[in-house]
Amino acid sequence: MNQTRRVIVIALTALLILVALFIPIPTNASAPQTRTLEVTARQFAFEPATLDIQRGDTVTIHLESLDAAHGLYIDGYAVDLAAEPGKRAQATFVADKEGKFKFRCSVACGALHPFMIGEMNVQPNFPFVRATAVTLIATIGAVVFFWREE
Amino acid sequence: MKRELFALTIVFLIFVAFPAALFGYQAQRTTTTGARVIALTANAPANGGWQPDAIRVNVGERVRLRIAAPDVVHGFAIPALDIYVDEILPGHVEEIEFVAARAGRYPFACTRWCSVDHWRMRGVIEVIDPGNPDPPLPTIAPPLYQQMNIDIDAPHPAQNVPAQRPSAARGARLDVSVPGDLRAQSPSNVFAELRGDPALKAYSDGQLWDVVAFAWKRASGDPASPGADSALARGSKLFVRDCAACHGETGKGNGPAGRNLPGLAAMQTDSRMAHGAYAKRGPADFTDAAQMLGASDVLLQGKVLRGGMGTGMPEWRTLYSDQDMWDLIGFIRSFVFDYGMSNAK
Repeated sequence: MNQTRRVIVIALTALLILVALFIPIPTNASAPQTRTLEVTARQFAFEPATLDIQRGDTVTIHLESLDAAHGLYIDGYAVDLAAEPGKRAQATFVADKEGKFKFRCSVACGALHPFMIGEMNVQPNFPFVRATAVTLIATIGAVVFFWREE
Repeated sequence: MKRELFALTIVFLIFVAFPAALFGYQAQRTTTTGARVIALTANAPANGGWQPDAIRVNVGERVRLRIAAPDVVHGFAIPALDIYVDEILPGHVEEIEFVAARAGRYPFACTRWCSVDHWRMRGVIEVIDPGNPDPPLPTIAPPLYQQMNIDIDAPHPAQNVPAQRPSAARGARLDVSVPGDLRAQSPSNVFAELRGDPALKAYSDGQLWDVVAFAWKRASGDPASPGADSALARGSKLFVRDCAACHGETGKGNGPAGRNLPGLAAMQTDSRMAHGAYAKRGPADFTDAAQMLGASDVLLQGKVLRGGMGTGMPEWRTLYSDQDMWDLIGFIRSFVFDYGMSNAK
């Protein structure tokens, strides 16, 4: 492969990566809604452990604890709740960041407290789609770039 | 020879000098603080509860409790000494200092819902007078329900039930006074008395219920100070701390800890537990007018202070003062009577 072709491959790959990163993806998602989610916490799990919501939704989370004091902290959203049996907690926020966020218990609740984790998926998860596309393009670009003709 | 001496020195340091310094430092610290330091560990009942759960101190002795909670969040209260620690976080040590002025037994308890068996987590501080280590037991009057010979386990259906939620605010506007001591009477009976009074013929049933609601609100505390420290507010605090886990935040008897009470299934099938209207149920529903309006305050007090005897309802006589008890019962009435509070959250 000569020099010119290599430059073309690099330029093409970089261009495609930029396109994948910044092209606006049309959304056919429904209009933002108001959701109320009931989450129960017990040693050492959340139920449900996965929350699926759409970007732009106004989300109200009710946290109910079944045994001891538990908390719920959503990474990236800084939502922090603390509940006890007989003392529910709630928080309302607008899901303005897309992606996958871990939420975890924020009140030390026993031996396995550090493993009391759930996740919140804010759809559509474009960062994930873009990252996948970029990885694929870069891989193909690298294969073409390093291909040796016999 | 020199190396042997060196080795001996190390052994001496490890086994003698270091422990001596440690204990010496602690002893010295105790004397300089002028308080006896007692380490108290709060474990959930399944892990052993309070350790130790019995503490003996002398009258007039300055005591410093250092409380640690290795497993979950706990609270600590010695109600009779007015000592409260709302939160003991794992990894922190809470210190409290007090002097017990009078000899006696002072129960203490956990105040946070630390596990399903939270209510078992109690202990006692015995304050002993060294000059008189074994005083005769004080005579305590039997509770009102025993004095009045009330069977607190018998069903108590209300003879009259209001069609709508009685409102104390509406009752206050009606110029009807309710005579007598309300604690010994059920709201249903007071209503029946008013209904039977020919002078009150002009009032509707609903209006008379409003009058009853207002009378109870007035009796339950200080209508002049409806602020944050009113009797109802204090009762509400106690309810949230001690009752809501089983009886529910809204008083409907559906709290998370009450759903899986140990022995709940047996309670609902064992014929020996079947006691008329009480068969087949867990924590009482305080919004159920047909039950609540048939019970006098004294009867409710009996239930709270004695506990449920095998139903999972703890006894509160050792932890509640008289004032606490009436504050709580005054508040519990607000689930049927509309006191204009926002307790239904």
